[in-house]
Amino acid sequence: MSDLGKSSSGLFVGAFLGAMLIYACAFAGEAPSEDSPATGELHIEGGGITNLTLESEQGQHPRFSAPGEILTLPAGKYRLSEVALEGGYTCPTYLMPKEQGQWITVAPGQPATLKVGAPLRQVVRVERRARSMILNYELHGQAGERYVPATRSGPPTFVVYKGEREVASGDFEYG
Amino acid sequence: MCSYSWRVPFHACGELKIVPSNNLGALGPTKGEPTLYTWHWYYCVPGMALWIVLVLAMGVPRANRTPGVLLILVPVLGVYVVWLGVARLLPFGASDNEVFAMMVLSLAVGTASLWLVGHRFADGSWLKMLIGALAVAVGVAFVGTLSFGFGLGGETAQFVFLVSILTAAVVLGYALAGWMLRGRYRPFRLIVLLSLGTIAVSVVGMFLLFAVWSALSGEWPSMLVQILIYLLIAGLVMGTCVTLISLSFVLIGLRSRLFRPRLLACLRLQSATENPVPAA
Repeated sequence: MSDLGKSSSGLFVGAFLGAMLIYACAFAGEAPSEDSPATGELHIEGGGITNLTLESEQGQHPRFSAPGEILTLPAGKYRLSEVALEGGYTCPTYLMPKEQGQWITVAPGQPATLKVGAPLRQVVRVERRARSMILNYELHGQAGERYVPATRSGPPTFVVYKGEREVASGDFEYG
Repeated sequence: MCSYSWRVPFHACGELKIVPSNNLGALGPTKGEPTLYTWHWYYCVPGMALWIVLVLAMGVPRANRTPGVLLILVPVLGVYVVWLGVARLLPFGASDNEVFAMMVLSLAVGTASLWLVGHRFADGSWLKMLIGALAVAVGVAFVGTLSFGFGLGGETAQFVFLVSILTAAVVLGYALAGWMLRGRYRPFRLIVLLSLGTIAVSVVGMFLLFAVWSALSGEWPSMLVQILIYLLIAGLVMGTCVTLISLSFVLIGLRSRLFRPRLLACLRLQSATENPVPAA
């Protein structure tokens, strides 16, 4: 009787595990159920990123340290919130162009793209104020987002040429 | 991020190429994109349009074609020279000083223009004279702001509005002093009333500027009492500066055979020693 009991319980466990294995194999590759949310890919076009913070439509702020080229996210709408680059350069929300503030839809099977980060472009925006020329130094990222350095050491420099002749040069000053 | 204010020397006028540079490491090239900018020679003459307005106001009306009109240059140049001295003591950058220079020169030339052409409104009604004088003063303030190259953006609108209010304070200061003197010319009382009136209108103008600007932008600050105190202080400081500019003209004008009768005619004042004769 005890032998019979042992063999029947072993049979039951074996049958149960077998059924589970068949079930797992049968449903492998199908869409996940409602319990596991759908995910999608966000391709990052740009480099040098040490920290990337997104904002979801639900108001969450997922943060990624040293994100690779592809982020896997729960399906939904996201937009860029903050970026930090190597060397301590950061781009807060108010320095992002309007296009980067728009929502990006992340959906399964439809990879979305986000342009952000290096290579950076050094740009001088010129204004005239009476007799003075105001030179504004800006660092632009992939999508025109502007970066500010974490430290104020080693300010950028400039040279002004008239034709081939250098007429002025100097260091920019942090405001 | 960071900037640089470069006072462009005359020899550098022309097509300029500005190249920024910074060691970005792996984030990008060390040399930045060149920016081209044409710096015209007349940018090196601050407020040139204001000086043109002044010369026209001195030369176009026939009544001004007399050597005595040159006296108007004394307060204009005096105010400008004093400003250049004061600017050295102020803790502001070159860029901010350009803004103040624009305001000071606009106020000086605006007041000079009033003395040079204001008499043409003297034989009309009070209202006509006031509107005419305001139009001259505000017009010169507008020209002054534009001539300093601030463009036509929101910043220019703010400056035009601010300088217009201060020049209007000069006009209304004269009007209030004339009204309170009730026809009798008393030099000391004129100067005191003119000073108080100009400062009072400047303070009211600051509150008006704040109210209009907040209403247009649709944003009212939360710390209203604090802002109002700041506005009061700003109005008193600016009003005092405007009064000093205005008084420099009054002190010179009242000693001039050309300008003294004009002021008395505009303010409807009778001197014990002379009858005001509006110039043609």
